[in-house]
Amino acid sequence: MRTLFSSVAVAAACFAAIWAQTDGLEAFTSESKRRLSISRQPRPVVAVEFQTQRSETLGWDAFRGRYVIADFIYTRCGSVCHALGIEFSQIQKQAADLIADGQLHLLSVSFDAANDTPVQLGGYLARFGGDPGSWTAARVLDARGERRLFEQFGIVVLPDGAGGYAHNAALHLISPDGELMQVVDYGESDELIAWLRRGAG
Amino acid sequence: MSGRVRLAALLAGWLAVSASPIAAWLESSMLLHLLVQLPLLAWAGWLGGALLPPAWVEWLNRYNRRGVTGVVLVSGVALFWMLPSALDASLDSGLFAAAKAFSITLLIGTALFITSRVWHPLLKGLFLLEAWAMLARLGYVYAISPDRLCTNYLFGEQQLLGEALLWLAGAWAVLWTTRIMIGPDRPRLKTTDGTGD
Repeated sequence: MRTLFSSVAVAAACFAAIWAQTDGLEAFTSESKRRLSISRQPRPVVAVEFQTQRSETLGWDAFRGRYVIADFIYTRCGSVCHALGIEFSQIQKQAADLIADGQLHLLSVSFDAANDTPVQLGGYLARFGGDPGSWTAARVLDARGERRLFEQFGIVVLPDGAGGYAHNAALHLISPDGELMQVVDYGESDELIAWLRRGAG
Repeated sequence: MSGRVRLAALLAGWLAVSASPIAAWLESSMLLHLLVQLPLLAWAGWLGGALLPPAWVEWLNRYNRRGVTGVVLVSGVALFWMLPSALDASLDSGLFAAAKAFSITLLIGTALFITSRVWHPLLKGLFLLEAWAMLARLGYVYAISPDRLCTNYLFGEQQLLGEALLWLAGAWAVLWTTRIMIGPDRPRLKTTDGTGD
């Protein structure tokens, strides 16, 4: 009897811990936990100053009133960032109406600020046929601001040992009033656009 | 060595593995983290269990008839630390790092030692078989998953770990089978706590 009670109590405690850690058996990796928490509770983006491919300095305010889809890249990257670049150029075509209507803007933020000068950033846009009017490539010059921004967006960048970086590749949706509200995998821009058409259209 | 010296040596070793530059080095690699640090922590707990006064072990085992509670506890704690988010958190938060060190040492290592004094042979067989199967399953998941499961480690290392786990499971299976086929005829189907069924 004692053993029965203790094993049931132990099992319940373990289950409770696992339940809490997985947000109710919904999120098993830290990445999925982060996304779930953002979509349940949108949060104002960390204020930073961007330097764009045109060498302009601007903040999130520049995009106010528009949804922003942001990704994080470095221009020398040949793998995931390439896929992200292609995806952004597809969004430009698929959501051309939303963009023309001033409802949507694209933002590629480099996490390799040391190498990604405005020239490099401009080259990145040109490579994917990006229209600079609706797609901004930028770096964050202030290292502390960059760190806080990446922390909020959950960007973890690891050197891959071959001179490049391994990093999480996701699309981040920021609301017209500057709140980070959703994070999806790259490849899921269709759903994001459909959602924007329903919600914002 | 006297019990006190052994305890001091064990504590020093445990601290080195759980909170020192050695720990940081072990945690810098996914392979070393899962295949060296975690087993060492559990082992330290097991050795610590052997230093407990027998009366304490006996008292605890009043709540652990035939090892049932212990096996539930060890399985539950192991399941928790198999969550990729829990492992990530142990690298990002001091609280989780401490929880990991203590729970794997005491709630897996020591609990397993205490349980091993009384567990029913069937329960022991079931537990070991399930541990083996979980090793193979985890290895398979790590080897084939297209996603990076831990944000603190590189994808390539995750695949390497998966392969290593599969090799370990394979070696374990071969050793086990060999022992059953040609080893000493040791299986005894009666409980070891002497109470019988």
